[in-house]
Amino acid sequence: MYIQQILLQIFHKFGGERSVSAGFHLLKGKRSGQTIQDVGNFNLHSFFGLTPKLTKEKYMEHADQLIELGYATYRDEQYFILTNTGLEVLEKSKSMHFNGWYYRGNEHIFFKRLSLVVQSLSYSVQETKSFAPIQKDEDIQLWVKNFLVKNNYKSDTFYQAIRVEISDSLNRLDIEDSSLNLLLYRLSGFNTPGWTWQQLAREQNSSLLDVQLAYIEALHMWLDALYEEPKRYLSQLAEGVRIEQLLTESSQKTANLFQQGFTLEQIATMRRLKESTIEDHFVEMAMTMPQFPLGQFVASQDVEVIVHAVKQENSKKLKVLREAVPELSYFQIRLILAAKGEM
Amino acid sequence: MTNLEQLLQQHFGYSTFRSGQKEVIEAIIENHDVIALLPTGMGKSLCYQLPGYILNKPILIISPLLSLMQDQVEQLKRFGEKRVVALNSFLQMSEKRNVLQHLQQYRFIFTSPEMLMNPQVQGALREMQLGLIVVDEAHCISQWGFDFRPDYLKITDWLDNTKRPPILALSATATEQVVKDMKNYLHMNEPFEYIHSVDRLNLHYDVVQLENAAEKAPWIVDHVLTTCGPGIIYTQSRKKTGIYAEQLLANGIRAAAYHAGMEAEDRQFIQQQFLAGQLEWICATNAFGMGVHKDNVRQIIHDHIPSTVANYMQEVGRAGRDGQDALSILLYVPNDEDMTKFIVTEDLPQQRHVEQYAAYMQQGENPAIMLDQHQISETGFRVLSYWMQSLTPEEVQQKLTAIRFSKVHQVDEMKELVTAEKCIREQLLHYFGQSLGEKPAHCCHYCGIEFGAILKWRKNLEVQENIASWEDRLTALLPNL
Repeated sequence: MYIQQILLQIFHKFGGERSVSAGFHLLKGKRSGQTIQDVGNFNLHSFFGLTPKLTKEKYMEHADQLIELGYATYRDEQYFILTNTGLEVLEKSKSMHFNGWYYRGNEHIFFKRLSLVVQSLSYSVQETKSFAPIQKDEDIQLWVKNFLVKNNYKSDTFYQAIRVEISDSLNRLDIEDSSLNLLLYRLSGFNTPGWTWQQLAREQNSSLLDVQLAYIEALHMWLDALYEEPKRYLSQLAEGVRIEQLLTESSQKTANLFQQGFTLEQIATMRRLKESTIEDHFVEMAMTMPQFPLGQFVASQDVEVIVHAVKQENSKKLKVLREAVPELSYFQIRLILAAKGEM
Repeated sequence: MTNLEQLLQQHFGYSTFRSGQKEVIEAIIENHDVIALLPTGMGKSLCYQLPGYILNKPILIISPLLSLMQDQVEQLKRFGEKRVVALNSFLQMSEKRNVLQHLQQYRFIFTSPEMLMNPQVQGALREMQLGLIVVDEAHCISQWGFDFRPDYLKITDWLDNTKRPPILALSATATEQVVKDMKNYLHMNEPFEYIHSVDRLNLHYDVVQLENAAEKAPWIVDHVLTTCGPGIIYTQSRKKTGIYAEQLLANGIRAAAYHAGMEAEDRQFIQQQFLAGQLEWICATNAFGMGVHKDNVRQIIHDHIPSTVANYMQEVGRAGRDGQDALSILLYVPNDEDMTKFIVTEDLPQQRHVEQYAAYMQQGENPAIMLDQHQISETGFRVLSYWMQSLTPEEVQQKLTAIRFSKVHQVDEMKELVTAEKCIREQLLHYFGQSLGEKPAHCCHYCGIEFGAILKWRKNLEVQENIASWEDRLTALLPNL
């Protein structure tokens, strides 16, 4: 059960400090300061934005199931904490390799391109020129057309190379065959229609959501591998899919102004935004930019004080930390938490 | 005059016309308006495709459904036509500008009623010379038709009626009333009418009466297990498509569900599997069928009363396109029509909607707020705002009552078809204002029908396809050279 395991992992990392719905926003990939901060504070990059279409009802169903199974209990009515059984289940489960933070749904662009390339080659090798393209998105169609023309798709060398690249790179992934089946059965070609999610879930004795998550994990692993060890053709299909620009658009604007030397207050005035909003941007910057000058906002000994307090209080709750270290502002504490990530 | 057969061969690779096509094309070339009613699968599209190579001016095709438009664009592209474009909401702004600038260069321009409301589009069309205007699925223009689209009433508003090209109105099924509406709303000029008989001699119509709704699913499973497909089971809810499919699968039948709530790719996979013979039965809502060209469908099962006789005709018409015998079965439980009546009137605006709309207008607010607040369905709002623009609230109220009455009446007509002690074929023809010629053996429920004479009995279950290893699957997609 992927979704179950993912939820256990999320609630485990939250350590009872974030509400149940924080997990929902994380899986949906909500672009709010709070969710982004959660990603950093609790080191949840891998699960960010895995299921953009998940409904709150479905999510709650799965969350409630953890309670029914005795894997988790409520603390103070809105926080989830794992029970010992839950912890055991989590420890025994196999590790997951999602990379939501870097792909954010773009893995589907890669697969759409691939699916149209494979379909085109599958028909052209049977000397059937015309077919109804499985991908209706015109941007994808245009992209694939250019790709095929640029790479001289009618040549046997290209055809063979793509085959070999797919087979080699998939073979090298440390992943179950059932997940690779999902990838291959979502492709279609000459006399070889793809399978629906329903059909795949039935075949694998699994739920719709779980096969879709297994498929996304496989895609993330494949893409990671293609970035580490580029392949001549497949890496082209992965072009622009990985997010290099990790800040939200608005935070990026703030970051640009900050780099030009403006202060937080000046930026707030210039952008006609509240200072608290700009503070959110700074926290986001502290989290994503390794070169963020934390020292401009807090003294290095303060960082140590907070790290110590987190350990002492066994909490990352702002309120708790503020009480322990009253001389620092909430903003300063948030910056430290964001910059230090998992402690 | 150009030899039409030669052109047909040259551009489409067919050597002869199907009935009606040549008459329709000739009338178009002679500059007549034309109404052509041709049953599904009789090559309606060719009636405007071939003139595209004769008239030497662009042909404008107005089509109500994006999926249908896509399908026809792809079909033309498969015939090697490059000068074809779909002018719809999917086009990006820059693309749209580009297409509009070069509109005259296309041979076929597909568009939707919504797009035609756009002033830019209207302007571009007015400035150019068209060879023919085609209104596809023209029955949508009639509020008495089975899926009235208010936008359809305005599609010729931009035209200068004194110097327009001929109009071709196409439909598979239309009653006399609907044909009358087509002529009126499209301002057609003494059109040439080609009305093909709606009778399909190879279709046989059965009705199976059951005691209660709970008997339907077991009856279907039993029937599917004893007879051969391929077939389509039409049902009213998305949920039921899944229930039927699961029951058939559990009994070893290669079946799948299909409805508009599924991902676009999944829907295509199902269509392709059905076409390739990998699926024997599709359990679907009425979303299935448009653009699915499978010739050898042998059975259609309805587990409900369709909303109109025309809808029923369209759905059963998907069987037996190859001319071989095919069977349509409708399962009927007394009062089934009530559910259908509920469904067809559910989306219609109510009195309170009319009042609300009027109130918003009076306060100078946009009535679309009703949509945002989920107080009305999209279809309901579309109909309501169309009428509210031209009528007073009281008149709209009357109009809506009339529409409601008509929808209920149409369900009753369908119920009558099923329950009357009369030949179904004769009733169907009568509904479309035609009369019965010959009657095939095993005609219908009333005339007497024997499944064995029409269908093959199932001898064994076909083996379900198992999942192969991913390597084998890759080789199936891209064989090793």
